[in-house]
Amino acid sequence: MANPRILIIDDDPDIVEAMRMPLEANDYEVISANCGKEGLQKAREEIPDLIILDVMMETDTEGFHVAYELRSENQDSEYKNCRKIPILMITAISQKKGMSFSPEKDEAFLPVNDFIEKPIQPKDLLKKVAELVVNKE
Amino acid sequence: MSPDTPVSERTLVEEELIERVFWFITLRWITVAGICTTSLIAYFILNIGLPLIPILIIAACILLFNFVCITYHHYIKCISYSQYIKSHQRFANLQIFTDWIALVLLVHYTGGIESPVIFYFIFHVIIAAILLSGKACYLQTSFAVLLIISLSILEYVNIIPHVQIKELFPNIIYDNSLYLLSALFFCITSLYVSAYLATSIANQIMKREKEIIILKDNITDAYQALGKKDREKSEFTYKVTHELRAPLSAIQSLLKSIEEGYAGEISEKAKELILRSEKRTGFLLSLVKDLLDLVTGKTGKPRERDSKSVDINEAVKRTLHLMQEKVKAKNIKLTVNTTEQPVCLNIIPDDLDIILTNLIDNAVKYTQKDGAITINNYSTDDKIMIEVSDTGIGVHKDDVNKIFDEFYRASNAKAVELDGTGLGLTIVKNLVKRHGGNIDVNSELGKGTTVTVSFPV
Repeated sequence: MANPRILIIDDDPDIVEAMRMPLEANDYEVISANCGKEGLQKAREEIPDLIILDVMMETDTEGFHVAYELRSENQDSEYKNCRKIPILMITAISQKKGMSFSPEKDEAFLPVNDFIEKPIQPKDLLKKVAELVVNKE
Repeated sequence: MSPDTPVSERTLVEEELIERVFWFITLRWITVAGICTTSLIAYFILNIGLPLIPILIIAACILLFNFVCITYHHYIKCISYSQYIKSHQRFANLQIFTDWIALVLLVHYTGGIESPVIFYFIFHVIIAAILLSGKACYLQTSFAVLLIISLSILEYVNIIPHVQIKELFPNIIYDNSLYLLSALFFCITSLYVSAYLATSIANQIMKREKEIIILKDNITDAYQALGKKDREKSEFTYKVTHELRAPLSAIQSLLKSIEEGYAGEISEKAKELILRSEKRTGFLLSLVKDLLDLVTGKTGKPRERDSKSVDINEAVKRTLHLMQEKVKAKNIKLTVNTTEQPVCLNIIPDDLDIILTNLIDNAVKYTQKDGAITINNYSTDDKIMIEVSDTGIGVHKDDVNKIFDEFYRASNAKAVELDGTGLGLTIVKNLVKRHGGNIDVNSELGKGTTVTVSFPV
């Protein structure tokens, strides 16, 4: 079986690198995109096993829009093949403030599967990634 | 004063003068009552042969005039505020003028220059000084003087018959021109001296009042400017901390990956140094987080739609869940006394979480191994209280007032915990105040601390 492929959408190359190291060491294949647009394009082309998505990129909420786009219920959506890809959303400390949702209760409101906080703790990252990839399979 | 001047600014001095005009009217009711009673007592009880009828007619005229005044007072109040201000000066002048005439008639019917009623002229001089400008007051005084002199001369030359009250003045003093002159001289001078004293005092007061208004305006301006500066400072802090957060997160994330060996094997020494670096960036990150929380508390009143009804008991449970490892590690005995019914508070949930996290975190941080922490939630008719007590190191009584200052850390706190931003309680205080609440600290050094937060219901 091929190694699970993970798409990281984040405009901070250092954060991407910090995640890439532990992921690759654990036999994940890592693809990266440095903006929402590129991220969407790669998601559609590559159909990865997991998407790790940053909230704040060019705008403060770019990550949300990417998530909505990927989970769009629209039949003609270009991303209809991406609907089932799990999303792990990266938030910075105290960034969750004002976003009154949790992945369990408000899935319809914010369609992501889990959150991970910056700074990234490799152990935490690997645990969450493993859970999401396994569940998907 | 222009009519478009805001009401609040034109009032103080003007409004007070208007009030005094009304007070003048009230005073006149009392005068009428006074005239009637004294003249009746003098006539019927003391048997003084006053010309009762003319005196009572004068009293009736004053009464009538006062009715006219009060009607006019209400009438001009109805037209427009600016006209009211303009009219009131004229109105005051007219009233004093009429009163002089009534007074001089009373003086005439009670014995002319020798009448004790003549002292009442001084009252009117003082009233004129308070109600009118200095110049108008002198004019009014001169008019009164003119009336007194005319009365004296007319009575002296017998054009107007002198009313002799025999019971009071058995001798006819009008024959004594020297007495008449000296009485007139002292009467006139006392009127002018009263006018001078009263106007200068009234002017002084007026000047002070104007100064106070200017001062008040200046203070208001300064206060607003200060508020604006503080908001700007908060915005600046927010932007700066935001900017700091991203690179710090990146550094911390990279260091973690290196430390855990994902970038290849590293020596023990390098690992130790990386751990130290991580600790420092970790501190910076907590500082950034605290600064962001601090700024949030300063952003003014929360919007209605951001607030939610939150059960305090649930919120405490949630916060404790996040801290259970720390509590266990120190073997702290934790007691939570909640009410059976949920205690619901309308608040921004994140704000409550920050408040509870900081309070409980402090309690855990500054309580030694095997200590105890008690959390009491309760509500009274008008308040919801959260009380966090610990058996920790306590706060020195000199420090109690300082612990809410930004970046202040008590020396015993620093000894226990080297890393701390000194912002926790400032954040709590700001957030509590933001929701209209209060925070109170009771502490004894070495024995423990109780922090009580209360919110209005």
